[in-house]
Amino acid sequence: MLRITRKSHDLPLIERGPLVQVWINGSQVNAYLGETVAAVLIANGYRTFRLTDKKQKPRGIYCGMGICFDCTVEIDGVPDIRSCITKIRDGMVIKTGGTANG
Amino acid sequence: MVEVTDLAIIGGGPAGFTAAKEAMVYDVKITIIDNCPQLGGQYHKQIPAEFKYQQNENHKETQLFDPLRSSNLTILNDAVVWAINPQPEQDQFLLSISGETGIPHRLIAKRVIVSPGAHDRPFPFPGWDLPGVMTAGAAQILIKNQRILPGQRFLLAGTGPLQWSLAHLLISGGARVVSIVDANPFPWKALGKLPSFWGQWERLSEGARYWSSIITSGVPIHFNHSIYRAEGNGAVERAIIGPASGGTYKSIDVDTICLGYGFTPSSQLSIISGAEHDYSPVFGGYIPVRSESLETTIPGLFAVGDSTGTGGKDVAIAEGRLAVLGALSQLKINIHADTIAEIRKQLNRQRKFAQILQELFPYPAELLNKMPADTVICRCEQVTLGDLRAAMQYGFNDQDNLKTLTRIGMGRCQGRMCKATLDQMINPLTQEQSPGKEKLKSRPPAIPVTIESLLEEGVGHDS
Repeated sequence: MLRITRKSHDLPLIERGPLVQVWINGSQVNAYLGETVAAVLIANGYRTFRLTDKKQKPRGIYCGMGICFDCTVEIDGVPDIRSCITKIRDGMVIKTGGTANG
Repeated sequence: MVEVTDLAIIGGGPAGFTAAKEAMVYDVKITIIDNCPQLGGQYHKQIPAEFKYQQNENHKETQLFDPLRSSNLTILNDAVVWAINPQPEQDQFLLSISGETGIPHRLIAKRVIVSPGAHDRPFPFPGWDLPGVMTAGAAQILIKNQRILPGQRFLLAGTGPLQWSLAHLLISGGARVVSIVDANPFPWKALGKLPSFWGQWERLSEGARYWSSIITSGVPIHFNHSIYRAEGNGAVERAIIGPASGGTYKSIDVDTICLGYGFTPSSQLSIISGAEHDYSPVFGGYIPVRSESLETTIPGLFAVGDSTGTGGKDVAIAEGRLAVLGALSQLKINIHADTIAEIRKQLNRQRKFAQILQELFPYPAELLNKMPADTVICRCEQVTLGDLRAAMQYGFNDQDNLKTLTRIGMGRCQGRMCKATLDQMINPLTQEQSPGKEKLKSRPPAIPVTIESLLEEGVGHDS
């Protein structure tokens, strides 16, 4: 839905990597190798990636380049991983909505 | 055994990869250390290696990076330099690096060029921490590198031509751009500077393309306007905008807000190395003091590109070339004086153009005064403008005291999202009270690293 499939001058058509399956909060979804965890979350309609532990405020992707630490999620049991700079792997287990520092 | 290289280049953006390309033809060992999976930086962001272009089009990026293959060049991708330790007695530097398997955790370099770039300058207002508000940079990366639209109905708030380019990209990708809000007036003043635009054909034609898609899609651009609030239940549902001078506010229904208020230098590494830095109100950050050959106050350490003040791609390219030739001549390689003179000429021209853009679209610092007390300034520790104003009223006007009192800048982004705002608030005060340079407190690691990568440093590294 939010994966761009239109061709334009500045966005020539691309072919994504091989189709794989990942788990988001217990549901299995399609993803393509080369995509980041954040991209797959966004493509599946997720906007809140985690809550702050001080005030339980929702946070999503913000800087997109690995410096703000807002988009962290749990990946394969490891908490606080920056989803914007982590590429998906086949069978990856992603959990959103956890609380993290700040 | 610690690996040794002649020239370490930190950052694989336009400044870094141009420097490497320039040095490749000489008999020196070069190592690029880049924190991205592929070279290019934010400007020439490549699609992931797993993606392919359909049709065998000859792409700009492929042409740029294909020549970067040479036996004397090592490219370390997905690797983060978190400290630079000058070792003046040995006339060398020790770099501490964090990365996956295969990335050396220590590297000795005879000369170092730092070109880590810049990041989007924060523009705090109530709700800028809601999901659905992101930097223009984040949106660009998602579209260009991931081919993902981060929303459907967009409001772009910020200033300058990069917002037009983002609007064009969003429209090209099929999104609806509802409105563009620019804090500065329409750039009429540019007309008086037309001679400086002579020769900037590539940029002018890009600009024309952006405007044509904005006009064709009927996107209104509100100059002299600002965003004042983002609202929504759990994520952005609407943006409140109004004239930059205050007055009547208007609510616009959108699901995504992209903030493009220019950039602030990512100068943490050069600060950590011990080089002298000056505060720049224009860029809202500290930039290294440099010689004419772009060497910092630490001999052998050069700093180039957007981390030294945002000049954009073309300034970065010219600086990368100039610095690398300076570094090479220190390594006893003969460089022709004409080459250096020619690059200087080019650099001056590009700097002039960058300066005009900066003057036409300055960061609207004064808007912070219009934001209410509940505006979050430090996103990590959730310190508000009200918290800071209260502490400052009691006379706590410097970084150390404000940190201790409020925890501003002590979260995991290490101040990257709040330091520019804090500096803006305290600098006029600090300068009145104790003129001269503020004492900078940036310590390694420059970015959070795993304990594992520290352990592998070995015991006694710090001694």
